[in-house]
Amino acid sequence: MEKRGLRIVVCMKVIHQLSSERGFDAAKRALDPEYLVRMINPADEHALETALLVKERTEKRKGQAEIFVISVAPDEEEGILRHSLAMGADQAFRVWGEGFGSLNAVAVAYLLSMAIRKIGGDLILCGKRSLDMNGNEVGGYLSEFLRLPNISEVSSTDFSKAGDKLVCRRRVERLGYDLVETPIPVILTVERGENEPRYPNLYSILDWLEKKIEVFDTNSLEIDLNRLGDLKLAVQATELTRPRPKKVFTPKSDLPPEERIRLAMTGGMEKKKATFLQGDVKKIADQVIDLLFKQKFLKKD
Amino acid sequence: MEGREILWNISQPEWMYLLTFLSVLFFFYGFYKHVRFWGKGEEEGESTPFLPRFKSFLSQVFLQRRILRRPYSGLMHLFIFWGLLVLFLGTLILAVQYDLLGPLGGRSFWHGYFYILYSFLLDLFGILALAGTGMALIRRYFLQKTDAVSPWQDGFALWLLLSVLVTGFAVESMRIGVAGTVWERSSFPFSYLTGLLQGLFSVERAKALHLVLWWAHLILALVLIALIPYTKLFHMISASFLAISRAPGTRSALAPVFSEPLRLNPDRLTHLYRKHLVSLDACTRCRRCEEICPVAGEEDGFSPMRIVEELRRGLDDSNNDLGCLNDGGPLGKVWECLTCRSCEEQCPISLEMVEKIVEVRRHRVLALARFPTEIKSLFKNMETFGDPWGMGKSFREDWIQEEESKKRLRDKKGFLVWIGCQTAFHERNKRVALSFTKLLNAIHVDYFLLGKEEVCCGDLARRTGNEYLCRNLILKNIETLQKHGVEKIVTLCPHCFHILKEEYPHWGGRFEVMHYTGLIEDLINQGKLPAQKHLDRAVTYHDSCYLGRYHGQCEGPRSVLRKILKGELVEMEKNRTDSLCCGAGGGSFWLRGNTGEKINARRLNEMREKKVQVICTSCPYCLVMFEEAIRNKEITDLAVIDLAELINSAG
Repeated sequence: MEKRGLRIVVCMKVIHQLSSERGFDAAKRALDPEYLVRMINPADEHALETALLVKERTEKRKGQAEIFVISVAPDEEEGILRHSLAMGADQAFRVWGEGFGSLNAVAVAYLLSMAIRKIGGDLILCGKRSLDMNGNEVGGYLSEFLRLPNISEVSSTDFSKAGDKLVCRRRVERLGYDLVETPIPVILTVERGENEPRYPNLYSILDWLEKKIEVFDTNSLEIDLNRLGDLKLAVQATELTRPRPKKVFTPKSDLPPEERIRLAMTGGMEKKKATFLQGDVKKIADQVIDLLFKQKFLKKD
Repeated sequence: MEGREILWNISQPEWMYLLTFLSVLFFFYGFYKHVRFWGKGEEEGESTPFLPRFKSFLSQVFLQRRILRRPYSGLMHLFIFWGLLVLFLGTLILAVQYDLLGPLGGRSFWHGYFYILYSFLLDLFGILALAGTGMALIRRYFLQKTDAVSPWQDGFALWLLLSVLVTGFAVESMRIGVAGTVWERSSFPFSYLTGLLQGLFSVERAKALHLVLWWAHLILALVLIALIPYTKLFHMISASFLAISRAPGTRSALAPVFSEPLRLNPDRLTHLYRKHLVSLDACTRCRRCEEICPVAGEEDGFSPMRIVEELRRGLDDSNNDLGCLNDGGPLGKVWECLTCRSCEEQCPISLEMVEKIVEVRRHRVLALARFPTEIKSLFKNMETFGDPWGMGKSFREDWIQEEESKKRLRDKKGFLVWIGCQTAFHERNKRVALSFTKLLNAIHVDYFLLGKEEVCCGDLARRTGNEYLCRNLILKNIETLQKHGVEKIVTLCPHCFHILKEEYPHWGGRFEVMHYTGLIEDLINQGKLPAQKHLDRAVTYHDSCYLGRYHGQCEGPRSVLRKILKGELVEMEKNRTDSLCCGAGGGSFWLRGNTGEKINARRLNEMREKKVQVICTSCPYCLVMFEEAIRNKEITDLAVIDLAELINSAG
């Protein structure tokens, strides 16, 4: 049997940058399109970078690898996609059909899974979560739809010594890492971590300005529209609020002037003080009890 | 009758022709090697009219204005240049007359007044050349700093020159002593010398000595000529080529990478233009650029001269391919350049260092995508949000607080005031924009604002080498500007001013652009803006590179200041086109920790010494840089303020 190369699929999302919070349309409960800033989800760029590193390592082992990027995105977001594809994707697909509108994570995962079945993928990479919805869901749902294991919060990955498995590094705590060995095929959700996404060079950017991005619609993916209907956005925005403005501290006017200047200088924050208790055990215990009474943790009856 | 026998006392002159032939052969072989190097360069599409180029060539080469900025080395070079030029031409005329016209039957004109004038001029310029060479030797061995190391060939060329001149004079003295006419014997400047020699030598010995000296002079002179292409003396040819190939006044705009509609010549990113290669060949390692550069000074640090040297060496080895040059040496430092152009201003041959540095940056960014990480987030911000701060358009109108100014967003009347990202997003600079618009509102000038429709002007992307990003921003802006039918633009930032004025036309954006200092000057001169001598402080004006050096607009802001100052304007030691950069140009503002802080602190020290109370700037970058330096040093008696704010509070 002829050995085919490793097929890496990266799922990417075009997000609406939330720092444009000033321009929302309260009536529609959505961001004002005039102020909309579209960009590729940063975690997805990390996923693509991880894919590129896996490809490079495969090629170093005299193997072959191809990177496919899929995105569920309307026509007008294709341009945003292209700049990231120039990082080094080999082929790109876009899933979109009429009347998709706002899709929830399950629907997106369902569409992606159908597309991945069609393309065929050994290693499927997603960003950990998108910056706009912060759902952290698609990777998990994909795992369910495709019946594949999912390693979450991967910060970097490499082949095992034998070369048939992947070893993933997951960050679990502040300074701790898990090393997980997993067979291929597998789904990884990649965290913004150790690898900095590369900046595309101009030749690649110009190439991707013209390359064709194939579009999968409901027909070509043989999607059960009724099923998709059930998967329509289940969460509705009820209200959009601006972040609360920062409170500006003003000292009370009836305090003596020295105190007010001190408060103005410190912004009203009391400096934390540490007191060391000294003496033998009994003395220290007495002092602790005293302190608890003083700070009103204990009450004298 | 006055005259002279040519080739007096010389037997077997055919050897002279053979040696000359060899020397010229050697010269042209070296010359050919340089031309071959130039030929590796890409050809530039556009050509400019010849006459203006020729004019600037004459003033640059024959008057040497640039070099004369420094009196000692300037005079030294002028003496050597004119001395050798006249001596060479004199010898050439002689050769033409004797070897070409003579055999053809023409009459010899080597007698009479022509001869008297000829020999007088040659002696005079010979002495000038001698003086210049002496000055150069003194400078090289006594005056120069010890750490300036240059290859031995540089010193050798000088000694050779000296020996040619000395033997030449000795030969002449001998000849006059033995066979000169009465007039020659008493003529300037050898009457004394020949008299001295006559007493020392008999006629026979003088003739023998003359013979030896004559051949020595000939051989030394021929060696000198042969060695021109192999030493730094070659700059006499390459710098002349450079001078005549350059149209005056085009120095300020960078060459574009693409042609529109978007098309990229595959060699454009890796290969330098022919004129670049010629100019690399013309550098004489005089170090003026290194001495003036605000960033240079550290060992193994950034230096314009070393970048030029490295490019010259590397591109010759690699067939003009920037891709073969590694970042280990001087080229790794290209990111420290402030694009302030003080090196070009000082360079005697006006070598365009900044242009080459940007070409290297372009190659690193566009072809290799290899650059400092801080710049990447900068690029991303500009791509996504249209400004280097990563704020987005919804914050761009934040500074507009007055109802009167908000009206200007809606009614597009009069000229456009271009705010720029540094002003629209930086808290300190927002106040400048506010002051300036208040000023215009107060005197009811028709102007309008683009507000959130503005995106970054592209200067930052261009100087950091991302021409593609810059092009996209520029096209977007031009579309907006043309949509609103903008004809005249007044910018708050000299960087926006420069790119809108000089570099937008390549993309079809032709507008009348002026910096706001120019507008204020006009308004005051027209009497629309009252200016009274209010301000009683020691004020100095700091020239922004992009306004002062790039565009020569130094006097305008000063004349405005003089109108509102009670006292005299304090001038810094380095002012106007020699002004020192604040340390923020060329993307350095976003590459903090490199050099910026050191530079503005240096400038600040100078101001403290001169007891300046107020620094007046006209550039948002300079303003922020100085304010930061003042804050870091916890200085309380020095304030930095923009010209727009000063007018507002005084007038």
